[in-house]
Amino acid sequence: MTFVSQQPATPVGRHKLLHRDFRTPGGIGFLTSVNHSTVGLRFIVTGLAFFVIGGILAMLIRAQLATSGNTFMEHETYNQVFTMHGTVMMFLFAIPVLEGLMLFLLPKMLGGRDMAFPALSTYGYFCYLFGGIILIAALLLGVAPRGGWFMYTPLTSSQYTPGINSDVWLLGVTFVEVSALSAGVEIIVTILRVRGAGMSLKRMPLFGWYSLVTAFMIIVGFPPLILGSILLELERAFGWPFFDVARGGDPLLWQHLFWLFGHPEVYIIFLPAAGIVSTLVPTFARRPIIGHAWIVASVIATGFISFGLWVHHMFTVGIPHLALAFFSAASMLVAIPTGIQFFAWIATLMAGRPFVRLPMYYLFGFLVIFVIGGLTGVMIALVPFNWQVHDTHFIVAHMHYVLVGGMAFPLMAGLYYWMPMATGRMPLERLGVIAFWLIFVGFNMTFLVMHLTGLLGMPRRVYTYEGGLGWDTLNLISSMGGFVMSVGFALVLFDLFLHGRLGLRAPRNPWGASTLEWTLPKPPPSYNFASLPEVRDSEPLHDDPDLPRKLAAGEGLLSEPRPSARETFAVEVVSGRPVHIINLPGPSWWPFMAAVCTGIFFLSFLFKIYPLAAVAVVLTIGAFLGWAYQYGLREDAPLLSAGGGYSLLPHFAASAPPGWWGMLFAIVADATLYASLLFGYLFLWTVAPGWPPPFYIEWQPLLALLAILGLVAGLLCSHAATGMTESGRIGLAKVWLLLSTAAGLLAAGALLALPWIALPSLTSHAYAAVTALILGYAGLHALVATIMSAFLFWRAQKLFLSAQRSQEPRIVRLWWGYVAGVGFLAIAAVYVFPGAFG
Amino acid sequence: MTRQEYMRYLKPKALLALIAGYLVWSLCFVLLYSLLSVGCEAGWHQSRLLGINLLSWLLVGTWLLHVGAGVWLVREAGRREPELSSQSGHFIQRVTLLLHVTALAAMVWIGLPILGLPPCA
Repeated sequence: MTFVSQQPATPVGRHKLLHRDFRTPGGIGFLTSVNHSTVGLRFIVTGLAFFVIGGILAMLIRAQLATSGNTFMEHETYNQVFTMHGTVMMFLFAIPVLEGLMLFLLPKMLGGRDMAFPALSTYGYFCYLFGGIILIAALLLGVAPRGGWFMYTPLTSSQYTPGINSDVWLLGVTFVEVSALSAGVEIIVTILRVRGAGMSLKRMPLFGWYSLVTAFMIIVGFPPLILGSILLELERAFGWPFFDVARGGDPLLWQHLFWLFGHPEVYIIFLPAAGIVSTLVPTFARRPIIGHAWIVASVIATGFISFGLWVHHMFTVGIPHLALAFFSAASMLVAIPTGIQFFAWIATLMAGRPFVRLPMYYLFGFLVIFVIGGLTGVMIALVPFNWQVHDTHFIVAHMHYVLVGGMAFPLMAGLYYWMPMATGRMPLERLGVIAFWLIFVGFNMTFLVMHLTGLLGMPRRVYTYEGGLGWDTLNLISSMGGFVMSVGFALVLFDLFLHGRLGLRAPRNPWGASTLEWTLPKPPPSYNFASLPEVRDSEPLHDDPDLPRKLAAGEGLLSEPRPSARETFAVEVVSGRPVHIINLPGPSWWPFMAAVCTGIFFLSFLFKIYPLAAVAVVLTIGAFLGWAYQYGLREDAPLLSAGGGYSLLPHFAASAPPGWWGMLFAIVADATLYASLLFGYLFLWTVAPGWPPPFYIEWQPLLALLAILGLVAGLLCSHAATGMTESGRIGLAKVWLLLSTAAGLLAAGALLALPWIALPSLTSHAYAAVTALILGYAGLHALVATIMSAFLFWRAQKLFLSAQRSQEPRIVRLWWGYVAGVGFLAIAAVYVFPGAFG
Repeated sequence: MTRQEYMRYLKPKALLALIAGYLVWSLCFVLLYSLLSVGCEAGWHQSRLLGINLLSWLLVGTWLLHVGAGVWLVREAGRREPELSSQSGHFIQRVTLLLHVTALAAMVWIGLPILGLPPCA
């Protein structure tokens, strides 16, 4: 094995070389940027823009409810306004801003130069932007969704919402969720594999743990809603009756799928915000956090338990008491890990020598407001109380205490804290403190009294109310408070813009923090670290205060940049020991083009131009393949020197590179969607009226056998192709790849043909629709496996495969394993289940 | 480096072990809820065994099985020497033990209503 040594470089030369490779191109080329700082900031700025829109909608709501009998808005407009307020705040502000913060911060905190899949972040950003534009455009055109942010059926079904209002939500939000899923996979792989040398899990900043758990929750929490949206859109577009009771559907299925996402979503928003708190508290307390291991355990426990709460949003729909008790118990349980974190924060502040600066105001605001929201949460976890306040303004008040207290206040603290990382300047403290008090007082004026409004019986989602019911004064106070709070938020945004000119230049570590991002110049260069740190302590900057100078002087690792290589480390998961060098991708048009093609698909579906939607699918797949084709090596890689005694292979030559891990977690998300579909099948079978169905799928032994044969053969051929590649017999590998392509076609054809041949009309009964979907899902996955095998054959033709460069067949084999499992389950579900339970 | 050596090197098992307790908790939760739904639909609560309905027996059995698995995980985690003789290994082991103990407590807690409530009322 030959060693490639690095060229010596001066600090200035190193900067020029690295910046040339990592920078965001100018002009129209800015659309091609994949740099995590650029993409992260775009998420944050776009999210804040949507926050302004959501805030204006909130002010419209409060203006309408300020007095009884108000005619400011009529009911149709009001319905669109409150639906869009919730939708914008949840889907276009809260989650994307936090994703942006994670994308922006994680490489800097973990000691890397970028995320694991920078181009995926870019694709995700444009999906988010385009999806958001669709939703806001609909609002401006007066065709916005109007069924509430949770879009309950049958109100949102075509019978009661015949226009495109519901479709806008289903397609727009799903488009945005593509972005969340890509960010989820990206964040998991980055945290597990793309860190600095020596950044073990023990030394990893707590923000990394919070982000990791959040990202796992995203990839498991979002698919049920994506499935729900697919089902409702199929019902609206083609009449497949998943929720129509007259044809075997059940509206409660929507509620289950929505809240399977909706409750974890609260924690998906809360956990990164709590991660901000856990990062800021030790800095401002000037001591390490107390209970580090307990906090890590609490965050993981919260991630799991939060998936056992969804039915507490459905306590009034008629579920057996024992089932209610399960969910009530889990709802109370989740308060414990949250409480542990609170005690750890308070203990750290008490044991330290806290100093109060602007971010601390927001931390205090968070501690007060979120505790109140948490306590009312325990109240509504109790079934009898829940029944009393269900659908009243008490719930609105509770939800805002949790979400604004649990997310907006920590986010403000974080924005002020990390502001110097983006602009190189310090926030304007005096203006910020005034803004804080306006927000804090305004918030409590708005929502504290709203608990009483709810207890007095005022329902949610009514556009007006009669006077004399005891609600007038309380509503007026809430509205006044709402406007005070809005002024406060406006001041924050004003501050964000103003400080760029008036703020003092930030020193390198203005708060005396201990984490790696503060070793960087302010604002940080495009490549983050001139040389990568070797971490020896969980507080690296306190461990070695001279670290910033050393890294800038090139005394760290990977200090001599290879042209266009964009290098960072892939590390061993637990210990953080470098195992290979990742060559990060540079600017590319492909992610933008893939997002545009995806957008064409969603828009053509929205306007019911289905042939164009089919073309868009082909274009999107083409864009993905073009995107994937640009990576890889056509010849074996030599060992590369990384400094510090490390000589490593590039990731193209690694056994389980980040791409393999990315595929693994993409499969986890996909499998969750499939599991949700099977849950829906079981749910309809056991709970929905109109079951058992009037007919069953016809037994088609030939097609079933062909499907199974194709799946088994595809999997085996893919295994064989991998084995041949690993042993360097590329010619034979190509034969196996061709065979697996053919097997995939066979399986896909049989699985997709089954519903058309063996079922009557798919619009006749929910059974036919859900059966067709289970088979169709498996068939489409087999089709994807076919395309992947064919693509790999082409890559082999183009010399991208060798014994050393055998990662791609392993990734495709992983997918084939999943596809085979899905196919077998599909056939068992549609043929064995009716036999056993029908 | 062979693939086997590489995977051992990555220690993915340490991460799976970390969440094993809560995976059992999740399985317990999903199974209890699913069994209850299917059992009520199938009328299992109408058959009786030793004076108690069949569905409650099934639910208690499922619950205790998972609690047993939880106890086993706690014992194993308490006994095991860290595979990685580093600070990181000790840290992961400590967090694993904490998670297993709390998952066991959570499993006991969510199953308690089975003992006091009729299944399909």
